[in-house]
Amino acid sequence: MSEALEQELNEKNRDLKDLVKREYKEGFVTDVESDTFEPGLNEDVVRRISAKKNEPEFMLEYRLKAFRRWQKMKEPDWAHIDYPKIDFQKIAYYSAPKEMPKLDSLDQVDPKILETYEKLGIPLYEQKLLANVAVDAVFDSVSVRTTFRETLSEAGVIFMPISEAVHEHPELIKKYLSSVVPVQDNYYTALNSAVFSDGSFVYIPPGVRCPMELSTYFRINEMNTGQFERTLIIADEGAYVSYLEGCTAPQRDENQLHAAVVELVAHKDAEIKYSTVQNWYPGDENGKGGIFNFVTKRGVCKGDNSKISWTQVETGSAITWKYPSVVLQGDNSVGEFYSVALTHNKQQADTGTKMIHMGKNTSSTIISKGISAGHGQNTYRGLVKILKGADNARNFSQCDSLLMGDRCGAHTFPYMEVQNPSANLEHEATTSKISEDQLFYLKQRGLSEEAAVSMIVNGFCKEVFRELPMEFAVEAQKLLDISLEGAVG
Amino acid sequence: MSAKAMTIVADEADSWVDNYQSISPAGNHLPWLQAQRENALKRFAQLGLPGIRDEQWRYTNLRALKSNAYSVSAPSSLIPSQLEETDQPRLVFVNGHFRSDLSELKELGPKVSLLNLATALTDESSDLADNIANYFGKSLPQETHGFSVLNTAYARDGYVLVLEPGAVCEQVIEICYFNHGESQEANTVSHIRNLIIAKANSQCTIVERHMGDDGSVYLSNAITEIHAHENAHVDHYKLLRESDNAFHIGGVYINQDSSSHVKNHNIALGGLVSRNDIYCNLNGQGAHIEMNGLVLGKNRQHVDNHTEVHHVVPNCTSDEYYKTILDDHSRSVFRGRIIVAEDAQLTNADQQNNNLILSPHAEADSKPQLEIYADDVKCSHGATVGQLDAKSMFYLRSRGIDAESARALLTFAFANEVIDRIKVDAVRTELTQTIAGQLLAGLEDLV
Repeated sequence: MSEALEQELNEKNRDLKDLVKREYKEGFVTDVESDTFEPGLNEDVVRRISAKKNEPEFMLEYRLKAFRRWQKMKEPDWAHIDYPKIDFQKIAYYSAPKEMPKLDSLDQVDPKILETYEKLGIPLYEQKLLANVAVDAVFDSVSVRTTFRETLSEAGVIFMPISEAVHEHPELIKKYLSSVVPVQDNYYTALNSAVFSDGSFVYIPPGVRCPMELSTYFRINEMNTGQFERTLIIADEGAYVSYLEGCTAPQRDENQLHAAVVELVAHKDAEIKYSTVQNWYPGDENGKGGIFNFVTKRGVCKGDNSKISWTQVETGSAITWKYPSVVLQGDNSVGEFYSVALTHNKQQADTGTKMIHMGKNTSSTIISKGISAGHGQNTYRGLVKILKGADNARNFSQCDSLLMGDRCGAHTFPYMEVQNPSANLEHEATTSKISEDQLFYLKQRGLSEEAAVSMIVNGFCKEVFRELPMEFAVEAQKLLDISLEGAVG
Repeated sequence: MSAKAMTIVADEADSWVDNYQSISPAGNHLPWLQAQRENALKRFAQLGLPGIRDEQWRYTNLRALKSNAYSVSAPSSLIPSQLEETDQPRLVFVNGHFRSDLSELKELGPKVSLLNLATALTDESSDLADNIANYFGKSLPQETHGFSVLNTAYARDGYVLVLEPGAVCEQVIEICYFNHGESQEANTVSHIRNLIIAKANSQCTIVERHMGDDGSVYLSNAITEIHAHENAHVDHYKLLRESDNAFHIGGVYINQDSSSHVKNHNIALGGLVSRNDIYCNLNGQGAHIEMNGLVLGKNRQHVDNHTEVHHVVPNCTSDEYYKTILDDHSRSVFRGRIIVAEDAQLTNADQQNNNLILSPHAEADSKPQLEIYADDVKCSHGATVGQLDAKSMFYLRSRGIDAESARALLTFAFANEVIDRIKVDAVRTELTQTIAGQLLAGLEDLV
């Protein structure tokens, strides 16, 4: 091995060692005055959220309908996760940094919030931006700042907080909101529809290739608040957009709830690429605290030749419950799901995807990599459904699990439902630990055990990482190393 | 008791509970058995029959089964036409009752006992009674469903096979179950409970055949318990050739001690709706289970196979191989679950489920599941749904074989991979002929 490489690896090791003692870096609290509702949920709260946002009548009706629906629903309990019952009356459903006049430039944003984002390494200042990333930052429940808005609007791209879109593009909201994920889809979508406070709205007009990557950073700051954001992305005919999402939260002993809904609509020939690096506070090594992440994400390939691709790196959250799905409605449409899910300490993840094939010649790919360490429980749960009319559907699924430590668990629950004889489905799953042979090989090349493990884990996840945009891939890799610290040996 | 009072409305749990009084109390003189039966009946009153809302039954609609009325039939004297001459040991049951006149009870050696459950329960020889008391119902899983508890409550007959330590039964034991419709008002229901106790270093081969009169409607609810002790070898075959209108709900529950080897072969050729739960607990190190399955669905058949292998201790291996061929409007469900407990290091578990769909109206649902709590393990599962390999088709076509024949040959080859795993020559030959007859009809010159 060349000396340079050795040095580099050793340096990386030192970094890693430093990080062992490191606590959750994003675990600080920002001291900004905020306007937070008292905990509790009733129709009045829903009305107040709507009033705060100055929403038009149709939104209030939508929320109330969802709320009434939610009251009649039951919390789902089929997932392979175990958590204390959530008291929905102890959560505050709205929190916003105080005094928020309409902002025109960054100077008007509370410097403390900017500081927070700087600590998180989010390129909020345009001049500091990594080339071509437009950011919509959501702090607790409201969108703080959307960058690059002018550049985007020149291209015709609409990228704004959904609360503004309600006012500026009500026709689009009316048409698309809940068109992919119905309000009553599940317990958390109904709740989200009733109380969601903000999120991102993206519309790419026909034939436009979005000139830059769009990105949202979510942050929960206030105590005892829940975050309910809503993302809606529409790619009109022939459009293309790549969207990134990242999340962090302060370190607290209480569990906090995050229940988001993401809807994607891809029209004819359009393509949407949605990437997530989720790093909510995972709780400490005894499972105290951490975010409960109950998220519904679904995309519909409405038109022919459309494509939706989900990529996720899930390293945070105490509980992850998340199944980004694709409904392949148009002929020749393509759905993809690439996932790395890591559970360490007492983290639990039940995640996977659904691919519903409806159109002809549709194809889907599922690559899921689960890593369990410590007492982590990692579950892949997925459905591939081929409906009667979906001639020549094709699916390939691969779910690999890597176990580190003898007290963790890795589970795979794939469902395959095939109603068409021309379908071709393959599902493969393997579970194993890092092989002694691989470790031995790397160690006899002079790598320390940690460097060897890091290299193997990164190799294990490579298929997913290469789907991520460049900056995210680097971040994801780092995150993985950090999250796995202490899992080795 | 009038005939009317004995009719059971399948969908009404009360109806089964009420009817319990009218069936023979045989075996109730044994307190442990009476207790098990009464508990089971209570449990059934809570559970009822499963429906599609139950996760484990979501793909199997039992509407047709439930809309029928059933009655527990009295012993009949009918001689089934399908019964062929044999020189092997054989027990025959008709509508759930043992028929000594049709059975061949041979001397199987000093350390092997084979008899029917009803007789065994009244046998005063203490060894056998103790054996049954110690093992009966012990391999059944905690999480259960209505049919299984109903079986415990209702089953009055079946076979009991006990192999004392070191016993090797070289003859293939054949068990035949026949069912036929009896009355106009109600269909026959038979509950069968079998028990295999293979003690240390013993060995046996059992072939269970489930058959029925053409076209008759009946419900057959059969459970086999297998207890394989240290180093025991059990080769168990279940051949389902029920009538085209029949319902079969079956369970094979296996407990294995160290170094035991069990093979379970589950071949489903007939029946309208059939369901098989095959559960195995690997409780001793070095135990090995092999599960093979073949489904040949046609017409409106529905076959639902649920397998579960529980690796409780380290160093066990499991190998599962299920293949499905679906034609016409048939539908198959496969659920294969592998659980590796926290301490079960060095487990090696493999599972394959391949589905071949031949008709646009057929449906295949597959649910392979891995649940792993240990790290030093090798577990894999693979599931495919698809058609015949285009390259293989091309190869055969290029040799001058027409498309239809090529398809038939490849389909047969697909099924043959499971048949090849059958170790009993007679069964393998029989199945090869049956399946070849079904798939290769008219292609005799090719075979």
